[in-house]
Amino acid sequence: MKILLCTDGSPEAAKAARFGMQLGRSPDSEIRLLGVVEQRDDAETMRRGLEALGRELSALGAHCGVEVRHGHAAEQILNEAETWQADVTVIGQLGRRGLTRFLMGGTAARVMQYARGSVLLVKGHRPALKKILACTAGGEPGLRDVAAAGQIAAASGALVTVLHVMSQVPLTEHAYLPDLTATAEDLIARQTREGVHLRSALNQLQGRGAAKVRHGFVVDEILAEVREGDYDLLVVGAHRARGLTRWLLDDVTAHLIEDSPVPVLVVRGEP
Amino acid sequence: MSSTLRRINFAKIGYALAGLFVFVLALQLMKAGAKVLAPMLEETALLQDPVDSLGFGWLGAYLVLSGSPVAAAALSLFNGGALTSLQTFTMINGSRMGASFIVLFIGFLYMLRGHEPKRSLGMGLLSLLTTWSIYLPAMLVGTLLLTNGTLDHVHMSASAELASFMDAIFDPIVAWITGWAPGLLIFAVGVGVILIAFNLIDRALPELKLGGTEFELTPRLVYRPIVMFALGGAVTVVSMSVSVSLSLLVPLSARGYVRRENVIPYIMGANITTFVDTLVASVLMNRPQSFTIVLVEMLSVAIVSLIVLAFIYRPYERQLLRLGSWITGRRRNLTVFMLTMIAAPIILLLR
Repeated sequence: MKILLCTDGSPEAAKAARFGMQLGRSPDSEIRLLGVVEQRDDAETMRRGLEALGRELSALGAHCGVEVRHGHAAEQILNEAETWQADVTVIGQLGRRGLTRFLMGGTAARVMQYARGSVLLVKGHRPALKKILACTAGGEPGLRDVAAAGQIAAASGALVTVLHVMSQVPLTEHAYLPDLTATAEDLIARQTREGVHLRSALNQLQGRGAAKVRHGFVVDEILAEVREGDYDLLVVGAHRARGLTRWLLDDVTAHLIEDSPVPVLVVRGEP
Repeated sequence: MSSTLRRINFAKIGYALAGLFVFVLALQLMKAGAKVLAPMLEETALLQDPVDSLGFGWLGAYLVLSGSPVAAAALSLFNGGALTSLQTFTMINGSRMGASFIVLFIGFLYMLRGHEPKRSLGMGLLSLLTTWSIYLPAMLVGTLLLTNGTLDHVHMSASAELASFMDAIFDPIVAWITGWAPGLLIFAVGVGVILIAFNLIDRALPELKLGGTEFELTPRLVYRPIVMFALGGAVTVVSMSVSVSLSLLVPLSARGYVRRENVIPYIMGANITTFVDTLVASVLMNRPQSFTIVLVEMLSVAIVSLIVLAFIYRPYERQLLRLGSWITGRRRNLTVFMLTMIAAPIILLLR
């Protein structure tokens, strides 16, 4: 796995890089530290900072390459991710919120929106990666998200909980009500559509995880699980439809990125 | 016979024409009846203020098991001089609020016969709570619009030619009926006839049934609230009934489920365009202010719905579902809620 750790030289970005490094602890991982400066004169200072961070990360067991670019942060990060073919781009959250972010945009938001590979947005302060919550919506893309979580779990030694949220309400007298309160175990035992999917997801994890089902609004239930379960990483997919469908569907991932108190890995394409 | 001709459903066209004819006849009868009724209502002091008429419309919807006939009756009473524009507005509001209780009441009867509350009441309760939570603030917005006269210049009524044509056709029939059913009875006959008219129009409407496979994937998807809002509004323009529009959501899930996220904005949209038949009635009434009242009704509901969608949608839907769960959570809560819903319009009317 190729992991691109992005930093602007700030202590917050260094924290994000340290957290991101935990994704690539397997021997076949490659890590690159990327710093972007607005002024060319700052490039040397940035390089020295990155090399120091690189030495620190190497001491933790990872070998890091260093790259310094000059220009617009989001643009340079996206270019580097594309050129180097990064599997995951790791970026810290900028402090802007609300109207300021709406007006000015944000590096993280732009990278999230336009990156072709997966993106890890580091939020909050999680010292270690021990518990991962992988959300799955069903179908092949949902299994791919779980596989991505499984790959990280294998590298970091973390445990994965696969979460599926059912937000259905009965519309007719013929609705089968037990589904509205069923646990993951119930659904798997009865081999319902959701149960079969969860069984496949667990198979991807090879004994490294458990399945859970919650009932309610999708975004609310995922966030409630993150808080109640004290997870270190939230893994969600970004398998957005194209064309008209893109405008019709709500962006659940965007809501989660906005409100999650822990780092969020947005999975795109192959893990 | 050509294939085009074979595709035309002549029975539906027949129902549509008959429905329209009976609908206009009912409006004319209620108009004639309202003129006789107006002084009687004044004497009995039954409908003195907008709160009385709110209760009257609400209770009326219970009695005829539908909101539309009561809304049309409100317009007739306005034309006959029995109601002011504000009273007409609140009576139409009451008719829709009462109509939203009917689905819930039917579910309640199912529950009393041993069905589970969640299944029997779920959608009816969600529909009622959505309707009420929007209509109550909308009533304030509408009252402001009506009292300020903001939309007074927006009028629409049937052209003079159409009005004379309708008079030529319907006046003799109304005169014949008033000959044997004088006074108060004319209005009652009008209400009966409009129920027949809605029945005929229902038969004329296209059957909006979607196959399960067409939406095989959609139950897994969460749509933008504004998309579901527009869809609910568009479907209800055709179906003219919130409950019919809701039943259309069934094929969105093969197992009778739809997503919570998708239902509430759909109902919000449906709650605006459900007034379309009342809007048509207001044009046919041939009194320009009738149109303004219904327009204010639709506009105020639309304004409140859009504000909710734009600013507080997530907490709004959370609180709505929480309230629904609280009501159905304990039999005592549900019983108190049902009794309140039955007693409230009577109290409003007789206070």
